[in-house]
Amino acid sequence: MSTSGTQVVDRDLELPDSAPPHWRNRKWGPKTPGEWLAAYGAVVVLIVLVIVFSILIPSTYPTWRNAKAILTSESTVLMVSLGLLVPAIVGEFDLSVGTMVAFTSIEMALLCASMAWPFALAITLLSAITIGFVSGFLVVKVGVNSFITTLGMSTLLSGGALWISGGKTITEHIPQSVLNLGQKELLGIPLPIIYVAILAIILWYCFNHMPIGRKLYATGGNRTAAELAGVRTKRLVMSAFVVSAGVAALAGVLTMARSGSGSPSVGPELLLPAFAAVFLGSTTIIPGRFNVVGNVVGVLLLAVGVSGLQQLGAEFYVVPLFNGGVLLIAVVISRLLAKERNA
Amino acid sequence: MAPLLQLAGLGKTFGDARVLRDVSLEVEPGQIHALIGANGSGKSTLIKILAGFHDPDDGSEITFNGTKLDLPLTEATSKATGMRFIHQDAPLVDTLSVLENLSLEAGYLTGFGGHIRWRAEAKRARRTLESVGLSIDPRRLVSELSASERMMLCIARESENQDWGGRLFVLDEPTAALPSEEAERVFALVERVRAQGAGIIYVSHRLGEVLRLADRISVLRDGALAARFERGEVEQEGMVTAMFGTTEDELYEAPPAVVGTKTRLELRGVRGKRLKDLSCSVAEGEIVGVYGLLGCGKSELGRFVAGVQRPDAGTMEIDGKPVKPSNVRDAIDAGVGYVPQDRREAGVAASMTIRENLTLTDLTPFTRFGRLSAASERAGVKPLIERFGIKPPDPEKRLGQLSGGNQQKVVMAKWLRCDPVVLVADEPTAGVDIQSKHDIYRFIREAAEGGAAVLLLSSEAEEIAFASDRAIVLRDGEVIAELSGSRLTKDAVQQASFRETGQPAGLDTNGIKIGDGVRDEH
Repeated sequence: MSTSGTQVVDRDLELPDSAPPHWRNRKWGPKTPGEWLAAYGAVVVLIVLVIVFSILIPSTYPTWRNAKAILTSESTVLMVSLGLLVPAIVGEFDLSVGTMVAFTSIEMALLCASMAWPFALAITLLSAITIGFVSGFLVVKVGVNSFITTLGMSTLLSGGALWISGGKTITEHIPQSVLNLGQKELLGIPLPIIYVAILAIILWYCFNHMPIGRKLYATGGNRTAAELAGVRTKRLVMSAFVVSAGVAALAGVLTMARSGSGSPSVGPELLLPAFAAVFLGSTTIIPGRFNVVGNVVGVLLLAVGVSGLQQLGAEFYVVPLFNGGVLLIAVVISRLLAKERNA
Repeated sequence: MAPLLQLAGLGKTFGDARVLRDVSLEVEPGQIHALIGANGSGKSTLIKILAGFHDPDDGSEITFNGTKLDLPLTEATSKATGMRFIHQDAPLVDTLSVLENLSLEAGYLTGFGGHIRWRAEAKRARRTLESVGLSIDPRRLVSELSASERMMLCIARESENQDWGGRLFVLDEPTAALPSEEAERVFALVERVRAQGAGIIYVSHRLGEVLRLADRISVLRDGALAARFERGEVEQEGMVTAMFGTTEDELYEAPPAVVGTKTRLELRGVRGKRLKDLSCSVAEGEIVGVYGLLGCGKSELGRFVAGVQRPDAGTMEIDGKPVKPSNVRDAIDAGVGYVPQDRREAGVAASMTIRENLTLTDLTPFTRFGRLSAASERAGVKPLIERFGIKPPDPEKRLGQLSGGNQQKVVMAKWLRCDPVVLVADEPTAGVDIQSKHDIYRFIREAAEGGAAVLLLSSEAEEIAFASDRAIVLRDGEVIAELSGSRLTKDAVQQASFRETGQPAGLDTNGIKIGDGVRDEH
């Protein structure tokens, strides 16, 4: 076949001169400094923040004690946001995770007073999974928008939480064995950090190194095309809600074990930070894609900044200002870089 | 007559790539000036310069209505000058009514206190719609309109009091997404706009309609003007030669088809919303074209075979085994590959990479002990990119960054790599440039040579005649004709689709049965 004279000019193949020579032949990963910055800028900012605070507060900031404290207090929000990641990848919202945490913390507190904790945990998880399945069913089979479905579910759950708790914080008869689950350490590392690390690794492996992850991303990328390529998208979307509900229940149990109480007021305030972390995470590591490592970096970035500012004696209102500012700046920068990339 | 738009020495350089060089052309009022060329020939760049998205190189000149314009143009100056750009995507707000969409452009008629005078608005909207020959209620939602109605609405709202005179319209593949029936209505409107004295730059891959509509044809090749023809000076042949420097026949020489005798796909008595008792069979290595106008049921046929939709009645057999796919996965497992009609909606995931799109259909070769290896994917995808000539040949490029032709090649490749037993391709070359079109025909032929039974669903008679071994013509869900061998020509296919039911042309006994019209009427 003769195609002489149809030399198609392809700009996309031309790399800018600024690209280091050895990058040009890379098969994957950032090919230009711009792409590198887009992928790892947030990590650089994270490291810079740690260094800056360590210099400013040398006696307390760069200590293992401080790191433990920050990571432990962030473990719940990170867990909830990791759960949210699954619906986010397939292109859905789950607004019910906040009140799910509240509901399950109370459920666990009530149940473990009267039975061995593994049974209490199993029942709590099972109820959460059932609720997640109902949400998924309404979204996939009935075709209700997930925003509305999970908003309704969230309100139902907050009502349920108030009902079973009688509006009170449940602290009685919680066995020490349950408290140990949230308060002990293993090899000097607090258990909550270990739980969330295990969860992150499992999800990271599923998303990045298993067919199911690819199918989830394809479902989010173009559901019809994925379906036509043989992906069982309905099943996947349903399971996404089951996973986010289940993970939120784990976070509820963890909160309860850490604090020794189940309360209708913990949980709802986790929703927005968890969402912020999901979106912040999608701007880094693999820009434009919801991803586990980005999510972890997002949570850490906010946590490190906030804790440093607090230890420097920042006023109480600085925290939300910092959180909101970082999210907006990150989203704007990633948008601009994406435009440049696709220009 | 003085030209409405005059381009002189237009050039554009990106980095060290000159994508447009020294292009000069004129558009006179009341003239349709077609702009054709392969993908990457510089058509889009030229349009984007006019629309104010790209800055042209120094030395370029653009004159509109005798006034030399200050370069570079901005979107605002381009619009103020009188240039209007209408794209195949028909950018309308789906959730608003026809009237509201019209007024978005023109501004609302307001009365005391800034309230909208809805009655006057409706009257104005009706006048506008009438002027373009659309008889639709202005209160209807745009989402309910057909593709051609949307396109016409886009053109209608660029008028000023139903007058298009003195403006320059750039129509970028207005019919790419339209079946030929609906395209007719758009042609009529384009003619009307021209008659009012507007200048039109008409960009299209469909050479037939270019020949029919254009007063003058400019051909771009490698960013330069390769040829210019006046009406009647050229035939399709000549245009293709100008576009590629070769003739169409050289691009793709159809090899004599070797059709096996073994029946691969057998459909019996298939019924659905559109289809009425359709039966047909496709042999090993055979390409059966299914032709019909919009609503004839050919897409439904494709969806049944692919497991997207379940038929109301009827059976399907692949290699003699009954197959009843209740979902797409079942069909794939039975060996069906399905290239859907709407590439953007259903064919590709634009945010994912070439590699990810290619491997999605079957991830097992790249999975070991449950682990999906990106490295083995890259190795597996490389020969596909070469074999299917996908550009750019970078597996990590996102699909949204590829041209339409290359996206479609990815869709073809992701199915053909699975060696389907049955391949269903629904309008596989819609909105694709000629070069890619012929590549796609070649891929389909290669699949057949590998033993696949192919159903090629198309509303282009020429495509059916050119690319298939045998054709069936559908109308209102019934097979009204079957053509093969020397009877399989573009004209015969088209004529057959207009012929009365019950008078099938060239019906073979092999495989095709005519639907019992009487029984189906109840």
